[in-house]
Amino acid sequence: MNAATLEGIWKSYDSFKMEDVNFSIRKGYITGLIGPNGAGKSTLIRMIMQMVKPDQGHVELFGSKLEHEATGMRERIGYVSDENVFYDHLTLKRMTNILAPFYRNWEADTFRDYLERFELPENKKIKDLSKGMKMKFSLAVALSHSAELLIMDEPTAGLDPVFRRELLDLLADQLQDEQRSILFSSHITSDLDRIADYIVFVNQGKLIFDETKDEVLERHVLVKGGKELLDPDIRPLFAGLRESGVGFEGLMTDRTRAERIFGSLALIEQPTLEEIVYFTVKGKGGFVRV
Amino acid sequence: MYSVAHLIRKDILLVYRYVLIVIPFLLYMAWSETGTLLVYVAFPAVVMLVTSCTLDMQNNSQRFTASLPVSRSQIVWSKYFSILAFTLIGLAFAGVLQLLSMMLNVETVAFGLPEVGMVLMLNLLVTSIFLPLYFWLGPKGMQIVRTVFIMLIAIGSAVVGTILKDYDVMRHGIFGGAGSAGIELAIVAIAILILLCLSILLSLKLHARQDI
Repeated sequence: MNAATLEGIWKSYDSFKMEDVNFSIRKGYITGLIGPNGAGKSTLIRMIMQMVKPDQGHVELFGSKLEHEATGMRERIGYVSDENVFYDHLTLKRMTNILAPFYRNWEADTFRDYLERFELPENKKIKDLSKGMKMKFSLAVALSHSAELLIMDEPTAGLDPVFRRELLDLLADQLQDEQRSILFSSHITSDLDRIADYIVFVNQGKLIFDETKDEVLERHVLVKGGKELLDPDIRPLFAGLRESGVGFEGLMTDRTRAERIFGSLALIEQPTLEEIVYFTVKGKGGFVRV
Repeated sequence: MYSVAHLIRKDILLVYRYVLIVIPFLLYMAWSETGTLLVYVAFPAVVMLVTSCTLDMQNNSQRFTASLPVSRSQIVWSKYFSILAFTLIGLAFAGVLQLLSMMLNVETVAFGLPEVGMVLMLNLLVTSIFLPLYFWLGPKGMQIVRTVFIMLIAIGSAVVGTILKDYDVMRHGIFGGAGSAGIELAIVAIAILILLCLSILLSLKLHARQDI
């Protein structure tokens, strides 16, 4: 069973359109949601949280289609927003005092442990916390009510490298019992390289792929070679191409095909997630003068 | 129902410090013997409601409420119920003020059920107009609406309160029985209740389809 499934999602705003997006968050796994700024990642996350309603399509949570308000479902979700959503003028203690009664499974001891672990001062006002500390508080809340699905919108943004690494370990620990699932959106793809099992890539409101990370990395290749290799028949085969005065770098989505076409004429490498995102977003228009 | 109670509790915890700012003004009104029950109860209650709504709008805090295991209709109902809670707090404050003035032998406004009914009606009227605007406009435009409402209620409660005090309409009006003023006020009360029902329906509809 999937923790969440989005099927045929369409949504239009004045300057943005989401078209027929389908993907799943598999139970017991970490799904990374990647894409450039404005790709629609936060909109998709807010659809799962029922904050945004799709124009067409539907969302399923824990096997149930969300026809009406799934209030009880949100009890089972730990949500970390990309921005501070807590009341700025309150102390952490008062904020906790407000939110804890809403959750039937609120674990006060677990929450206190996280406050200590994250070195969060209870009597400090939220407005006086750094961005990283606000994010830590949000994480502590999300992890303290036995949530089965953790939905995190850019949780590592604003965190220092040490805590970022700690957070990734912490999230990996959350999956020990295979009952929890995590959706982790980030444009810092190295974080997802480290922990994600599945990768969902969206760009300009469209789904590019939803696959296991290993499949994604296995399938894509980065081809580097001289300009003489590029001709009108070859160019369309690249998902993204970057040309310089002397050569090119291009992303292809079919390793077998790339090896058959270029063989030993070009250098064929395995790209990182960042390179896959970069070349896909940039398309074929990239030209760098060297 | 528990969720609605928690949401009302949230609103009270959010705004109580802002109300402390109003207390010196109310004490001055009591001391200068210019205050009325409308000033002591309606003004702080509406200030509390408007402030709690404004705080929800700031810093994406609407998203915090939307992430809680509560439904959108519960959020709407809680806002309407919170005006009752705020009115009760205002009444408690007015009661303490009355008790103190009796102890200190200072003449201040006395109040009974007719005055309480009047204040409640006024608060429901303001809420019926304010909340659909709040759910419709969202963060954009709320700043202006908030300022206008607080100014209107501050000026309005003082002016209306003085007029009613002078003419003693309240005391002999709604509950006073026979006179035509009583019937007129009863009609006004029914009209406000109808407006309140329409306002709730409109707010439920507006918030149900709003993207947060």
